[in-house]
Amino acid sequence: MVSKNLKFLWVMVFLLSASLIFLPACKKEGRKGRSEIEEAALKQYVPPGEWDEFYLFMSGGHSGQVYVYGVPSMRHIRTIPVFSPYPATGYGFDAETKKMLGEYTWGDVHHPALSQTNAEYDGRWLFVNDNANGRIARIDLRTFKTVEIYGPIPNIAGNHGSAYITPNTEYSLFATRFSIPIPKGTYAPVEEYATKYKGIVGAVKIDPQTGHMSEGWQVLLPPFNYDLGYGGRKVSYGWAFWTCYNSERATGKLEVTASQKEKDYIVAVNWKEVEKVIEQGKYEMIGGAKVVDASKVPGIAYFIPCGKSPHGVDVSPSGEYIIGSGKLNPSVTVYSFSKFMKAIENKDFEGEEDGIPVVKFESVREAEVPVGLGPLHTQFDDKGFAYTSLFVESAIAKWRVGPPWDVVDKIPVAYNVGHLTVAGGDTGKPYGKWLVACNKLSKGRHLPVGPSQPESAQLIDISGEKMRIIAEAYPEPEPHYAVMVPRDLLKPIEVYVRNVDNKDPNAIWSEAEARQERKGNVVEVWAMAVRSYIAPYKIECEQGDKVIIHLTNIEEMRDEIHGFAISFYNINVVPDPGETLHIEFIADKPGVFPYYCTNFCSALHQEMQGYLVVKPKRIARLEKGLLASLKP
Amino acid sequence: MVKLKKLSSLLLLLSSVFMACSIPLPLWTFWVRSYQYPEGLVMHVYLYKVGGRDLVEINVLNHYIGMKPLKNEDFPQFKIFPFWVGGIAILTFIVAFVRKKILVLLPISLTSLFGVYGLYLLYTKLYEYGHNLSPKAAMKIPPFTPPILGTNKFAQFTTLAYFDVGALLILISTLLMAIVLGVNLLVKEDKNV
Repeated sequence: MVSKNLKFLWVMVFLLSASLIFLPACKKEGRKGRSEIEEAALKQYVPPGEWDEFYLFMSGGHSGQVYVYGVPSMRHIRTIPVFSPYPATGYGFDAETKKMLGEYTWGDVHHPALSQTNAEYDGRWLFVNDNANGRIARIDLRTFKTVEIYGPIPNIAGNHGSAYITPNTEYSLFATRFSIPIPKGTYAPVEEYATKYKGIVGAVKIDPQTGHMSEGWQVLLPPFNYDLGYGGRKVSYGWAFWTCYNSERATGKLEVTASQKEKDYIVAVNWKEVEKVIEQGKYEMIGGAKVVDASKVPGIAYFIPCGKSPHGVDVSPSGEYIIGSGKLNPSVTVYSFSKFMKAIENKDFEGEEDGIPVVKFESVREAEVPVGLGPLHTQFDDKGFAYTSLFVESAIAKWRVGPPWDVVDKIPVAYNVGHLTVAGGDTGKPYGKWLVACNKLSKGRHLPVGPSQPESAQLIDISGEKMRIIAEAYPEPEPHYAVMVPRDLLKPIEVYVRNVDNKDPNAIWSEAEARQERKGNVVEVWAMAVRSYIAPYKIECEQGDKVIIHLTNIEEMRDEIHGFAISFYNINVVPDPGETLHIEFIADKPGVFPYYCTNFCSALHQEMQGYLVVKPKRIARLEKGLLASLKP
Repeated sequence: MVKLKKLSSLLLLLSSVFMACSIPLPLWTFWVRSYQYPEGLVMHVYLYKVGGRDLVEINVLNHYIGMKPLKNEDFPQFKIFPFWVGGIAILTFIVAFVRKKILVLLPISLTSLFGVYGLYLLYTKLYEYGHNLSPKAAMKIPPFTPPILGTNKFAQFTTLAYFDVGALLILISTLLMAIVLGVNLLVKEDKNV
């Protein structure tokens, strides 16, 4: 008994002394971990009221919107509605934005592109594409509002390889992801895909002063799936590149049928040459657009072989290297633009597709970089490194642009990264410092919110030799590409200055001017909102009248935003300080409908209301008859 | 006739320039500070208008207590003041060339009159705005007169009022005239006139 107890005692003593030795060690280990966390937290911390260093514009995918985040805080600051109505800012409810959206109430935003001058961001506009309905939209970065939507662009279906911009914002690129018989509306059974369906790539012209978009050019290509695009810069200026998959020209289960060939292509289009041949009249009008047939007009398009089902095509800051990423490859292929030029000169071709030359792979390839499995997209930093997202491997590889073309670092990301972005990483002058990985799956890293889950966006510090994950945000579905720009490059306004930013002839600036006028069946109202009233206090019309309201928010103080909603009429517009918006509707429902301020503005915000009084047709008619009979 | 010295003449010229410079500049400035206006609210009174970055916002806030909006139309004096001060500047300029000692009295009296009237007007207007509050106002507060100079507290707002560059220029200009007049009155007439 005693010996047993003694044994127990000895064991306890041993354990205690062991713990005395090991505990401090554990503690030290813990402290080290904590300091790492502290360091990361401090890197990301932006004190309340202070500004982030970078703007991050994330595409919102099928939400049809663009999200504005601050970097490094990863705080969501703003949602810019583009292709979808957004009652929070009244987008899609006033006459102008309603007209801009047209018949569609959603879009599929994939690739934001900041306007550039000399291959550098100039902070003027942000272009985004709609993959679903073949459109391109322009956001004015003075107001952070969508000001123009161009399209649906003729002849294309699924504008994915867009809205990539050329180095002086001459063009925004587009491409058909899903080849269709053209012009749109043409019928041809899917079985005739290989012959009757057509591929199209092209560009929308941009006015360098106003940003206004108009018809550019289109190039007719074989019926492949044109995927991602990129505008060449510096040495490759004047060229545009798109990847394509399904060079098998297959239909059905593409997962299998379009994965048969070892190589698909990058198509290189000489847009300077396209401009020339269009001027010479070497084009056809198809679907109302000027289309140059690449199989008939030589010298405008070339195919460059690229490993299995390529996705991203990215051009290095110098413009010399073109990086092709095959989705099912364990490496990226680096092509040399000067070698490509030489191959064209020497007619170093290995075949053709519908008469369009395919340059010899070996003669244009510069290097093969073993980045890892499933490379999708590549961005560049300011120190001569490239960063490639690896979807299948769920990682980001950092590699040297130039000999020995080696992978220098790799970091796992959670999970399955799609696009990635480095500040200025798609320009001739990358800023580096931060990288954001736009991951496709978050798999419950956030507070559980049910089966519909957000994505994950991870902030990675790339200022040192080793990449480090610093923070994480959970954007709504679904960021594809994103662009990051230093905050100093943007100079947004806070108030529409009267007679400067707002020259609307229907704007009114005082209560005294508030009124309504009738012209036939149209009731026109000049209204104003200010803390804490909306004038006029009532709007009177008859059932069936068309009502037009010109509403001006006459505030001059920033953030004094007023909303104007009419209950049961599905109307909610939100004019910013100094802004005039226009509301148009048919007053088809008789009765009394309150209108009120939806955007909380002041202590007496609740009092900010009025009534829309719609006289029933019957009574209105009776009154009119009575009036007529009373007339002598 | 007693003539002014060269130096006095120069001082009068300077005085004239100062007086003229005050015309486009703010005479009186009124600041409102509170936590939710990080940059504060500011308005200015000029010879010819009420203005400043936040005049509209100040009017918006004041309407809640039933104060009338500050509007140029309520100050007919704005049509006269620039000519009054401009006139003094021209007059001083002429006197500097004519160099008659006694004539200095003319701009001095005009500018003094302006000063007294200006202050009187500012005070009565402040009194008026602070006392003619609409009985139908959303917030009813006891009538008050905002101070012409210094700080005041109202609810979460702190106000600060002071005379601005324009008024200072007029003051300096007047002081210069006074110096010229004073020195020339004191100095014996036989000494290098």
